[in-house]
This record gives sequence, C-alpha cells and structure tokens, in this order.
Amino acid sequence: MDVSDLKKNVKLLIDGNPWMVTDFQFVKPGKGQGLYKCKIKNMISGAVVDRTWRSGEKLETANVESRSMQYLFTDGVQYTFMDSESFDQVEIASEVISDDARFLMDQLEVDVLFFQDRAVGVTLPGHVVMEVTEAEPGVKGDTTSGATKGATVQSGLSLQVPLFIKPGELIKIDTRTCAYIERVNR
Amino acid sequence: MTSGYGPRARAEIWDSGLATIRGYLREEGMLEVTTPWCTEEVAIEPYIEPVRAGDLCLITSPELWMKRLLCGGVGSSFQIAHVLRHGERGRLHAPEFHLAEWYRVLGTLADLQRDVERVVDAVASRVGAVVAEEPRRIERWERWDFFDLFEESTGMALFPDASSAQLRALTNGLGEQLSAGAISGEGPAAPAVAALWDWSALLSVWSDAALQPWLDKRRGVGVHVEDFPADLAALAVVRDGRARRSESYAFGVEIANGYEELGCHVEQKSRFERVNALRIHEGLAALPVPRRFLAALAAGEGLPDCAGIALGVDRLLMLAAGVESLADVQLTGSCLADT
Repeated sequence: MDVSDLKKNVKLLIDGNPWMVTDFQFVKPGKGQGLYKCKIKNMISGAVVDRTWRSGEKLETANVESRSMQYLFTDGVQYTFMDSESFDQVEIASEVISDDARFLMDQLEVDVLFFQDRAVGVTLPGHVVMEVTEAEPGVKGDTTSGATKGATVQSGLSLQVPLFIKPGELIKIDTRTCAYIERVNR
Repeated sequence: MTSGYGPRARAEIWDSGLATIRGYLREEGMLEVTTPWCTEEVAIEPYIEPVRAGDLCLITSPELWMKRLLCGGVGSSFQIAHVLRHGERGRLHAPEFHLAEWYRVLGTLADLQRDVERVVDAVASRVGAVVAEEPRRIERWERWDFFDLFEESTGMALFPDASSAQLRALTNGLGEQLSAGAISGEGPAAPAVAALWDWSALLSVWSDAALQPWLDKRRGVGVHVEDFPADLAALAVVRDGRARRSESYAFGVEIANGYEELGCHVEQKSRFERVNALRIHEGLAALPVPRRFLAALAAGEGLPDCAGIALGVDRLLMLAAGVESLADVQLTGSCLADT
C-alpha cells in the first residue's frame, strides 16, 4: 500500500511482525515531501514505537484475520478467550490487551485478531453495557443541564455520568472514548 | 463537530473572512477572476497529487489558468478557489480547501509579503470581532533568508552549492531529532533527479524537526522566508543562484507561498520534465506536460513581469478564530469521517 493510505488502525507488516497504527499525524511544508508521523504498536509484544515515513514510500499490510470470541477470564498475566462454536481457547498477553482490559467482562463478545494463526489482539464492540458499582451522590437541587459526577463500573473503569445515575444501574459506554452514552433498563 | 463553534458562528467567520480578503485585494486594484477547477493541465509537482476526475484533474491550485489570463493581458488579478490535493489530511491539511491566489503585474516578493501582512492583520481583527475574542495580533514581521534561517534554527551551516552527500547527511541528522522517531526511505541516485529529491527531503525534515520548534517559541512574530535553493524554484525565477520564492508563517503556521514568476517556457518545460522524472522514481505516474500553459508563455509577449502568491484561507481562518485544526473552522467540519 502507498504511504498516503496510512491512517489509524491500519495493520502493517514490518520485519515479519504485525504492527497497528495507533496515532497518525501528517505534516508537509508547501512544496516538500509529506511526512507521515505515526505511533505504531507491535500486535504481538504490545511495544509502541514512533516511526516516520515520507511521501512516496510503499508499505506492506499485515494480513490479520478476526474471529468472534467470548472473553472468559484473566490470571493477571494472560487473558483467555473462547470460540463459542468450536470451544477453542486462546490466550493473549496483558501488555497486548492494554487499556482494552477496562471493558472486558465475563462473556463479552469481542473480535480476536489472528496473525499467522496466533491471537495478537482484540477489537472491542463499539459500546458495552456495564453495571455501576459506585457513584457519588447527586447534589439535590442541581438542575444544571449536562452536569456530571464521577462513577465506577464493574470492570473498575471510572468515568463521568449524569447526576441521576445510581449504583446498581446499567449504563452504555463508548469503548473508543470511554464516555457515557445512556442509561439502560434492566 | 469538535470545536465550540456551531454552524452559524462558522458561517459568520467565513463570511467576514472572505469579505475581508476580497475587500483588500480589490482595494489594491486587482480584478477578481474565476477559472476552471476541472482541467486537463495541472502544475507538475513532485509531492502534490491531483485528484483525478475521469480523463481530467481537479486543480491543485489555480496557478496555470490564472497565468494564462495574465498572458492574455488581464492584468493584476485574484481568485478565491477551491483546490483539491489527494491524500492530504490532518490537523493542518484537508483534501479540499480554499486558496486565495493573487498576481501583481510588476510586483515583487516584498509587495506580496506586505499583502500577506495586511491580509493577516485585517482577517484576524475582523474574525476576532465576529467570535467576540480579543483579536490575535502579529506583533511584528521578520524577513529571513532561507539559508540564514536554516543556520539560526539548527546551529548548522548550509550552502546553496551543498553536495548530495552533504544534504543527505544533514537530512539524516535532523531526522533523528524528529519527534516521531527514525525516518526511512532512500533518495534516488540519478544526478538529474537526486538534487530535487535531496532538497525536498531536507526541506521537509528541517521544517518539522527544527523550523517548527523555532516558530513555536515565537508565535507572535510573523516570518517570511525567501531566496530558496535553486532546486526548489518550482515556478519561480532563479536569480543569482537562488529561487525568488517566499513562504510566510503566521502564528507558527505556514499560510502563504509566493513567487516572482518564471516566464521562460523553455526553462519551465525542462523543470516540469525533471519533476516527472522524480515522480517516476517515487513510483508515481508522470503527469501530462501542460502544453497549453507553456504555449501561452511562448506566444506573443508571454507572461508579463509579475509576482504571485497563494494563501491558505482555511488555515488563516483557523488561526484567526483561535482553534487548533481545520476541521474546527471548516463550515461543514471535516469532509472525512475518520480524522
């Protein structure tokens, strides 16, 4: 692929390893070469490095396949997922799961990414529903629209929620921004 | 939309910004023109990629058509054009944006630089009034020779006759100072295209690794950089071994690029052919040599002695409105879903 097709989440094959572009910035003086300044993450080791390519360079994409699987459990070092049809299990290192761990709950369906038959990462659903375990009390009489307070959900993730949210309620959360979307009725 | 400005405020920013630019250029006695945006001929640049429209291209700048009008005797003139550049996207880049481009018959780089200062000042104050913010002001403008500024910002000397090996050593050295880690890619060996590649590569890496941090420390100072290396002349005349080209930076951001215009069709044709050779080295398709443009330069009295400049309208409005990205000021937000 041409370097001009670079963007976030593109998977590249570099020195035989799959890397994902996690951050992307394009700079270019009026008549100079464009520079594609990227942060890339090794999908096997989780290592993140900076890398800059110039206009005109060609890159190889990594052939990464995805399979829908269920999250089972973690021992703190590895995260285990299961294929709901074949019952095959795979393990992924916690460095690779990284921040996505904030959204992993029992039986959550995720897309597990495979590179050369090895599980190298997960793609979360766009949003997840989680139970609020702690929430600051809402201040009575505060009717400011859009006012928020701190809350924690079952995975330990902390976020801002509207004042009316109470512990024990279910809320929908955007997995990309970690932002509250809406309350969900049980 | 990510910024605080809603559609109505953005519309007012654009309305007052466009009116201010038009008002200034008209006051200066220039005619407003409009030329085709979909065309057979575009200026051949190594690193500006046109968007294809069937057999035609969408313009990357209105330069060739406006120069054809100048050859025809239209005189000093300006245009606010939509331009399209394939693959450009980011905080300061969009695949479609607006250029205010103007040509002064018998003008010089100094005239264009003065125009830029006045346009920036007027737009910052008018747009500042619209968004009810204290207008951002440029405290003063400085004019720098390209080579002096290179030395000032890097502490290293650079000479117009630097060899390919010297240029590549400087580029690699500066490349290691890039915020985004090591840089890859190798230049061509063929001497005809190597010099163009070497200077283009050095310009980009220097801009990002040294010039930008230097500009960031003095955002209130406007900067014009002029007298570029001859290999980066593009469509500018070369005098005393230096390209009569000027780049202007306001609030730390590049906003305008002007030339004392090359009128010689033979020289221009050979530059286009050299750029095409570099494009082929870079794995890009050669672009058709703009024959009708070259014919206009060759016919009759050709291009009058003139200087022309293109100013990025979206960037100027972004700076005047005090937001951080083009998407925060463009009327409809970014045209891309994922930037």
